Amino acid sequence: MATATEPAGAGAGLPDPGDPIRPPWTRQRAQLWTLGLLLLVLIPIGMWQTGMSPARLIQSVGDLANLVERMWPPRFDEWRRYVDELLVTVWMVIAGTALAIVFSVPLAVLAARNTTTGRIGYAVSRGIIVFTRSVPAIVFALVFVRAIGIGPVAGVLAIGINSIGMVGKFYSDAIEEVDPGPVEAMKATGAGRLQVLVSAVLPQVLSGWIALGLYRVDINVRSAVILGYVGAGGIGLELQRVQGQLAYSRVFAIVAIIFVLIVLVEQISNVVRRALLGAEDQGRKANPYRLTNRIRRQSEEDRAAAEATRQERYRRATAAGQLERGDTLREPWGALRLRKWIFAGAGIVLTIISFGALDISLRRYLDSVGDVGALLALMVPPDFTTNIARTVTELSETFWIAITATGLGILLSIPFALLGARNVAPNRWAYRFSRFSMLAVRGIPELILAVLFVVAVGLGPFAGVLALTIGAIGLTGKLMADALESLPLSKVQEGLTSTGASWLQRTLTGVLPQAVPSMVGVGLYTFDVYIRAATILGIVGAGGIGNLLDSTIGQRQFDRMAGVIILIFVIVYGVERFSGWLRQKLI
Amino acid sequence: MTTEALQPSPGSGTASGGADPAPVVRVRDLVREFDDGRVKALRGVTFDVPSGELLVLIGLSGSGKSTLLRHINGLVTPTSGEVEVLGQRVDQLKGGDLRALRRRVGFIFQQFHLVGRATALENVLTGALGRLRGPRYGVLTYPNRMRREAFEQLDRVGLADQAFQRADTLSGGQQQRVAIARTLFQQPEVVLADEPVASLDPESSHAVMEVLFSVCQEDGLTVLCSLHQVDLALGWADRMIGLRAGEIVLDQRAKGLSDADARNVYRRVDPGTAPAEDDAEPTHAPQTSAEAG
Repeated sequence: MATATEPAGAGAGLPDPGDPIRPPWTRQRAQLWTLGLLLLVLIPIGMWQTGMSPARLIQSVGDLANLVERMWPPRFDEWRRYVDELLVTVWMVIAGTALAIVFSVPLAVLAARNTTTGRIGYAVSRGIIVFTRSVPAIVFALVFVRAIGIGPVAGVLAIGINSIGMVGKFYSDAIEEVDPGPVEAMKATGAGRLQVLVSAVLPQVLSGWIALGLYRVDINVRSAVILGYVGAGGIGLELQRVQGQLAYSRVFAIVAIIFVLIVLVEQISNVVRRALLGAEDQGRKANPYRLTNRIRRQSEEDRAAAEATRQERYRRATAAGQLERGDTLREPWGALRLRKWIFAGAGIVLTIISFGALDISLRRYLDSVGDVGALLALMVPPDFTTNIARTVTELSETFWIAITATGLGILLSIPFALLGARNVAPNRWAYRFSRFSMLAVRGIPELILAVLFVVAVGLGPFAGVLALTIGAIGLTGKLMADALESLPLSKVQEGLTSTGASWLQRTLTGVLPQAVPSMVGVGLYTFDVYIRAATILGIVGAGGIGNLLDSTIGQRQFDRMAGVIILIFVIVYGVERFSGWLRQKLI
Repeated sequence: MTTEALQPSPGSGTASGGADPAPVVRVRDLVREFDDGRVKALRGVTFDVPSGELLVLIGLSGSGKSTLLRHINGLVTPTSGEVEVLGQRVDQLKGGDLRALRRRVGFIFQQFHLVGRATALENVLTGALGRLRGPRYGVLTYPNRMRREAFEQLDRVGLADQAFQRADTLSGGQQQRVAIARTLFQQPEVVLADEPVASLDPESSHAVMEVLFSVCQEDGLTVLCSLHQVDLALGWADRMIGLRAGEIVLDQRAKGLSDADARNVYRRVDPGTAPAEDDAEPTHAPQTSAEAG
């Protein structure tokens, strides 16, 4: 950083009177300024490109009010149908996630450098992981609905295959991080490959795998509620039906039900995760009365008790020099072990029930392989060139939607993040208000928001940008708030407080500069997520390349459809690599 | 090193002049409890500090020095008792009034408490936030006149050439000097320093203390500083107060106070003896004799 001392004004002694005192241009300053200016330039261009004029924005407020008026009050008169379809959605998620986990395990073993069989196995498994992760679930759903027909089977397959990518990647990362010591020790005893995996690797990764599986259930619920919209079964089917009937008070009822489901599943999976793993306290003051904390405390006590019993037995066995009669030295059935087995059993039972409830036989899945194969044959060779003008237009629209929504979303979510971070919020009420808003927004997936905005302001990218921008409060706002809470800010704040600075001064002068790296990181991640979302918004009519995808399928032009899917993959994967590179450069 | 530290002591003696009628800091029966009374940080502390005095607080970690200092600019509010600073009851001030008082009272922290990602100059400029309206972000949002003043303060602590370095790239001693410049830029009447050199090596400790005390003397500021280094304290202080377990056990002019007497405050280092017992009677006896002598 020697460069910082070179420019005028920063030499030894005082600058000449009249000389303004300005910081010199360092590379980092230049980078941050470029990024900031780029946002300031790109946002207006993006707004213009996506038809987001001030006049239209003002008008949209009226449109939204109008929609709310038409939606109010919600009508739950068909609630039996909704509950049935909601259950279908839940079963789809469980079956799909289970399917993904089953396939992810061998894939992860092949895709981890320390356990792979060879170069080919590694390359193939990594390829599958990258592709399935980059193509959104709803795209798979569109293909499967076309290949094997309308219904939850297509949904299960779409959820399962889309999840393989992320689950497989995480699982293989976990394998790569295991302590190599036990692996070597097992090998030294002459254990075979499978024995090493089961005895040395599995115990080290299992808890992480379970946690991720539960987390994936969360994510899949979000994407599954919309799958029915394209015919892949579940509550989305109802949403599409009542929207087609222009029955907006019923649309509201369904959105409310979806909201409850998502928030509920998020809470349940949090509780289960902590109960099983005794999740570590994230440095915040724990409320001792919260259910999760009570469970955690209980499980810690159980663990200690189980350990004590085990030691006692060992002591007795060794002191006597022999085992007592009938003492098999099995792990005692403490509360913790019992709970683990109950949860594991419940998971397996739920998975079996889900396949049963969806009334899907194994035969059906085997048949679907043939159907999908037939469709795949129609997709080769992919066609990129027919009507290339429309492709280019919709691709650029996709980009502008993602850029505009990310930029506006970041700006919109900064205040929510500042108020929603426990160590920044000026008081409890601001904190609660902000956290509640973020939770509420997070309860409605972006595509559902997009459906609502299409109804309110009409077809086109404008609706898409609005949906993603609002969605950023839930996504970006929460991530930023969490990042702020993990920053050590108390000293900076105390230092500024002692100079007599107010809350706003403290926050802007002290907190924001410290938060820049994490905000850049979260911003790039938002762009990652939103480019993905922008590729599929068109399926519900909210602009972007998804529109083309939908129409090629509608016209049964499967070679063109394949072309679009490959383009979506390239964009999503390319942006992910690019933002990963940028993150390394900047932070 | 001890001799070096002792050298400036005559200078410090002359700087603190005659006694002012109204004390700058007036503390009465200050009690502070934490965790619903389970921890008593301060158990009834009373003292006055006249204008221009350089007062050094000594005592073991956990004896209540930090808590006491934080009461004086209202970062901590008392459980009971009175804290009056510059004629205002700090324990009763709120909001804007409290901020206005804080502006007149500088605070130097053990861990510097700088904004790590901001430059040294920006950190100095934050000392002006109490005088300015509205939030500020970055150097250029402060008036040029202020930037120049801040730069001068940095020059005073010998860091003009590091003005545009990010604070977290500076060494500990340099960071503390930036913090001192920030406090000076605040134009305070009282400076509180909470073990300003406890996280520095001996070499930089001396340099930082030299800077801190000499500039405060130049500006005629009242200083309350907690220190662990008895030799440094004896060299600079006008007066020393020793704290143990939240109570004052020593309150004397520094001149004529012997090193051994001052170190007496730190007794209780013997491991094994229960602190509560150790506190109660036996150590009080030698302490009173120290005050007499």
